[in-house]
Amino acid sequence: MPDHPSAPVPTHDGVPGLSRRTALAGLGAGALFVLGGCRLGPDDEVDGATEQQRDADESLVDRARADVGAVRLLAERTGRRHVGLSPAMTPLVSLHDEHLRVLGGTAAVVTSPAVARRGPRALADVRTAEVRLQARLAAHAANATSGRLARALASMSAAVAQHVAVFPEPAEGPA
Amino acid sequence: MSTPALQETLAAEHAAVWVYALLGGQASEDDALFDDMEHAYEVHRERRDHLVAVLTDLGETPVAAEIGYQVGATRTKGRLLAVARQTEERCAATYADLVARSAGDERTWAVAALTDAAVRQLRFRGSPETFPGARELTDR
Repeated sequence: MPDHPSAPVPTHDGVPGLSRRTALAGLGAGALFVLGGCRLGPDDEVDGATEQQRDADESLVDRARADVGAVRLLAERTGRRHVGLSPAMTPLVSLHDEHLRVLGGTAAVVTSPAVARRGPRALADVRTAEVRLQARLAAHAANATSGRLARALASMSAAVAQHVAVFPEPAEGPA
Repeated sequence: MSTPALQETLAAEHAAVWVYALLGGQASEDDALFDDMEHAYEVHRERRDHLVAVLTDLGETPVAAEIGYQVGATRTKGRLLAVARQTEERCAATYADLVARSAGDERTWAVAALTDAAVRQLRFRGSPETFPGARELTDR
């Protein structure tokens, strides 16, 4: 499949986009949590959250979706461009799809990721992007007002860390 | 700050310290496995001590360890690894709950502990998960 690294990518296939008002509606079976919709689960510490705090969490979810979406797109394109790397990319794409689902769907990825021509370099780039994503999700978890949102983001960060831990090492030699 | 959440996490750390002390003794003939158990023991002991200090600073009485914990048979390497993996999985779930019920430095601490427990599971034949510590979010 041809790559179009300069083209903006509004969404990716496979994960339906949802409005951010319904983001995190899937947090917990039977949970009442609807981000920004003023309905919160009984054990959520933001029961008394202000509108400003809810808006901050909505913005945080938007940033998390954009972060995950960008790295997902890089992994997907890397697997397409370097077929030999596809087995390493597939679990990452699936992971990010699941995380995007819980975050409420895709976000517009305005900057299309460039995939390196050489496989080892492309592999290293994905690893670097995943490591950064893990740190960003951890930071988002720390900054969330909602406890449930923080827990979900922390778990996503831990999942990315797990996948990085089993990620193949780039081959020796110049990238 | 949720004192009950901190106490629940401390209770989990007491259990982990006890379990790894047991597993370390059982793994003494396998250097690599022993090192993993020993390192896990040290990590959980440090976390236990941290939580005791936090609770004490809050004016609370830290929950005490149980006299013992049920872990089942640990005669084979496979069982040792399984018990260690389950210990990390349970700790991960506890840290995830602490993330939800804390703020500031304690939440940051819990996020780091969750990540560490998730990655440590892999050393005990665990597999990467989609939502470590929060499995109810998977496939919904």
